Amino acid sequence: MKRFIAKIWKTPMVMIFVFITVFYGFSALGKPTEINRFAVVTAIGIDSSKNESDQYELSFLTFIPIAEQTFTETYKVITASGESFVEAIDYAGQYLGREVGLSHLRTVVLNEELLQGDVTKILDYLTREKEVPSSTKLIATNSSAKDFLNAMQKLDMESSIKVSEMVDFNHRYITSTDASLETFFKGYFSPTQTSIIPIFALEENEDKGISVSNTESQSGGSDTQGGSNGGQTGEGENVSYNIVNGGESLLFKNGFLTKQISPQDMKNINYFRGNFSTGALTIENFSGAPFENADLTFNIYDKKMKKKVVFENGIPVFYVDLKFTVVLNGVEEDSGMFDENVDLYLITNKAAGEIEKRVKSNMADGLAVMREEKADIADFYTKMYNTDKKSFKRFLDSLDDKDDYLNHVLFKTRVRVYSR
Amino acid sequence: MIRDKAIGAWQTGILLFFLIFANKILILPSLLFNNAKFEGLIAPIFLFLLELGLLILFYRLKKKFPTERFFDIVKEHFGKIVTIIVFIFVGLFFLGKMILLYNVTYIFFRNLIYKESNNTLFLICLLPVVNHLAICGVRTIGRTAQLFFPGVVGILLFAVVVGIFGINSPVIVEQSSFSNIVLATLRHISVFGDSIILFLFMDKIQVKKGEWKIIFSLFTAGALSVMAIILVFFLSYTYTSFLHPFAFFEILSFVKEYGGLGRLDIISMVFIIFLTYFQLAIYLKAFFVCFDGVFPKLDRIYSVIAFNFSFVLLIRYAIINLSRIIIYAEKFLPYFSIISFVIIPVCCVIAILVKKYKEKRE
Repeated sequence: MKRFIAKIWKTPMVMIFVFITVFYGFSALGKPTEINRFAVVTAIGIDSSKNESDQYELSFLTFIPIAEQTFTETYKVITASGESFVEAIDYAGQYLGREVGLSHLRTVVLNEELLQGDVTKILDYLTREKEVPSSTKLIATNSSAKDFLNAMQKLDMESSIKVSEMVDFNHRYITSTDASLETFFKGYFSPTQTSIIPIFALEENEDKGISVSNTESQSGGSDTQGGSNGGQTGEGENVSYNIVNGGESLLFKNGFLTKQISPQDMKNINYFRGNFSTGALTIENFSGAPFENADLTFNIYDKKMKKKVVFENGIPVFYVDLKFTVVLNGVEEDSGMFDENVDLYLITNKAAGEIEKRVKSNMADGLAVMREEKADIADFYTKMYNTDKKSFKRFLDSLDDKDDYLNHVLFKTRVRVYSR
Repeated sequence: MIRDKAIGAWQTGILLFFLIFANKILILPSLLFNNAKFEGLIAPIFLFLLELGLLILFYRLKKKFPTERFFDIVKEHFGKIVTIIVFIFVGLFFLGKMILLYNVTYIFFRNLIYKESNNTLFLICLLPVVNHLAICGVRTIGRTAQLFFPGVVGILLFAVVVGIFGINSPVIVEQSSFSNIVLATLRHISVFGDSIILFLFMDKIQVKKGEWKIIFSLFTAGALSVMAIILVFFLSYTYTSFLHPFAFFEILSFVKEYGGLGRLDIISMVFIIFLTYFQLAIYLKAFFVCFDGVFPKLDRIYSVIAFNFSFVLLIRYAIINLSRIIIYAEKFLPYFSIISFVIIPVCCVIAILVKKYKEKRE
């Protein structure tokens, strides 16, 4: 033993290791466990405060870890308001008796009413807080954000469908867009200063969307009252709400809301953006072998997009070359059910021409929206700038309104359609 | 006292490889983007070329003075007082670099892993190991680094390759002016020039004929890796790069968040903690060499006490938050780079020329 102690004494690293283990090991054992210290916030809803002295009313969809043998997750919606974002978070922590942990934040819901001013002022804290993942999804809603959070909670409990996953899936479809804190600020800080946020509507007795049974919350009470777990308790009547991810989006220029974009407009614009995997292309009243006066619906199976810019007489000419591989999915003929298998249908030149015409027309509509709003949603700017910086700068300098460059760029689109 | 044994080409190259990442893969990329947008990438390219020049100079010096100490070479040509002044500044430069490295790593870990950690805990975890490695000598650091080298390279390759797959949006180039690029270069010059450590250890480095290419290759690999990290970071975060201060971590975090590949960011933390241990140990060894040169009659224990005392004091009272570090790194430390990029190269060039002249005369 003496020899052992003497050996340790001569080896300072071992002593330090023992010291750290004893000192910090035991002190760590004395601390409360993290599940008792933290309330894990998975979504934040932001409304304007009803109290004049406060700026925002924040609602937190909070997962409170409880050690139990079942797999049921316990969520609560906590509401707090304050003069600033940080103060509201502090109040929420105070009401909960736990620290508010934002590292698992997945969704930020903005009440549409809040978006009349500079939206970056609302999101500033969230983007600077290191705990908040930059991939946190950002959505707007037509209802109060607090009610939306209650619906989200019910939806998750009833079906395990998470709104953040729904937003994430949006990028797959041509009619919608996804948005996160990162993509919003990338757009904001880019030269186009353009960002898009999808709208998730919360509608009562709506036919479309995903339904959530909800117990109408008792309204009233002080704004700064914590623990108001809307939809959890109280004698309310059962109301069915629908969360509708209909493809509506909000367009922001320089942080300010400029337009609400319809799903059709989003589809038209997405032809230029190219960030979708699938979508439907329909041609109506098509006549050509073997169809007679039929509405044909094709599904986009694959797409390839090439963009090229050429400066002609100082004016940028933007070439967009789109190649679609499509699959015929639906045939509606006046004469009734089409009696052939369309799986092997090889698209004819006439049908391809019709689709191409349709897509080109849609693209023209999309361009018109972007031109009208002076919003370069498809980021043509980067391509033009990187192609020929000097010519593009000269072109911009020649314009009276530099923001209006889209109206002065020539666009030439080429669409080609192939069968799978 | 532990005798400091010599190191070979592989160990020298690996130490250099580890040192190349010091202070460059966390805050630097974000600051470069803040200073000069995407063209901030040019600053490290230029500074690595300067650093390569230092390495070539070391090669030439080592050829002329294969067994001599750098202290003795400078003393022979410039006298004792100039040598002592130069070594005092070199020692302070490395102390300054250690403070920067420690602070950045501490804030990184405190922000991202353990908010409750404090400076004392972090110092207890780092200082004993770093002191131990530095006291044991260059050979011990080199051999240990050699042991960890494959793992470090593996993590690095993994991070860069996975990071490349996470890139999804174009970025505008040529947005920044030439003056901004020059300014970015000058502001961050102090995090480069670590090759001068080789000069300090030159009597301990034994490179056989034909083995110099190992050192040059490892230096090039390290420089390219740093460039790849900065490039992937810029391309991942594009216009919001300035909002993300911990580049190497953020690359894997980006892939985790957008590619859904699980908790990859832990890998980057392992990489950073290992590198930090080695980098601090090498810097500390350089400080000891300078201290021994300035106070040749004092025992090693004095240099250990001097370092730990001054380091803890500076950390405790001078710099402990991110904004102060950035002021310190961008406005104060760059002046010290005159040592690595002017004084030491001038000393070397004069020593080489004098030696050549003497050889000719003989």
